[in-house]
Amino acid sequence: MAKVTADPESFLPLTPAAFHILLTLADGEKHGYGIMREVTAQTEGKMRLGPGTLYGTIKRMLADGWIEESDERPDPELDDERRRYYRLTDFGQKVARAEAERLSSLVSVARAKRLVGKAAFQF
Amino acid sequence: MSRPPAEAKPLSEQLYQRLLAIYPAAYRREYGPLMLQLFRDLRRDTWRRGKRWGLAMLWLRVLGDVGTTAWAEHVSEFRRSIVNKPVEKFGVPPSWGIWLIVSAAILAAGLLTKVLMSETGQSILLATAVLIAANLIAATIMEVVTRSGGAILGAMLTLVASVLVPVLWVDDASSWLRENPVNGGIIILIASFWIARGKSRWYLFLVALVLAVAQIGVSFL
Repeated sequence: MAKVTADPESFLPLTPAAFHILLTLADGEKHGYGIMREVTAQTEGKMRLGPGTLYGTIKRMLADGWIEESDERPDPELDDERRRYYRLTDFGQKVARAEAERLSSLVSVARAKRLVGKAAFQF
Repeated sequence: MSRPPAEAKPLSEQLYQRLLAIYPAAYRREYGPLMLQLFRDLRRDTWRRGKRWGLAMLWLRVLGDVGTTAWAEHVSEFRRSIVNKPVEKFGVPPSWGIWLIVSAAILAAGLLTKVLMSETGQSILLATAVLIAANLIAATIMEVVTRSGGAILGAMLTLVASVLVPVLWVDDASSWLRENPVNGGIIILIASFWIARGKSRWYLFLVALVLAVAQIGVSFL
């Protein structure tokens, strides 16, 4: 795969779907349905990706070099060989980290304004 | 050894497979089978948990998903093929774009000359001849540059004929020639676009024919 030279910051802010997919792939490669189930679990059912949203986002992430297809199968006996597995690239990790830091600083601002954290529960 | 009969697809899957037809063809070829597989998994799990009610909710979500993402993919496909795709990717040299501008300038000059000659009371036949010459020069340039195998020149001649042939039967030939400017620019743009995209040439002739018929039809109004 060609080395991506773009600045990860230039892609920010990410769409919620893209960021959740990156988070899901941060701990290993997964196929489409695996990603979908984990996003639903991560968000406690608040975000449910449809097939069009999932593969539309995957298509753009592949084109931008954030993720790549994996040839390996965890266990060919247990798995459908037609499934495609995806994994994070180094550049994808940088993009995910940049977005996480952006969100983290945003949360810090919200915390300073007492919109989240302990302050939010003071009456 | 005989193969076991293929399992019939549930109605939901058949419907979803048909629904995929609204995505752009290139996207469908690449991701259609994966989306169908995903829907199959989703439908199976949903049915296990929520039976009919779960399936109804799944369809509501899926319809919303298809409605928004199919539109987005068409827009993306359009941008990719028209706006963002560099000229080099069409398989023609970058100078191709310069010649297109030169051809368009020749067409514009021809059209302007015709209008000026008409308004200053000069012969409309001479003005039309100048315009047609400009059209043929522009078409020849694009023909040579794009190596269209006669498609552009052929289309242009069809259009020129659509202006000249009605002269034989209209009552006021001068008026007819004055009102019909030979819109060669349209042909050149359409031809360049379709040839660059590798489409077949019969499409180009069809466009030329429709334009020609429309132009002849005007003479009967």
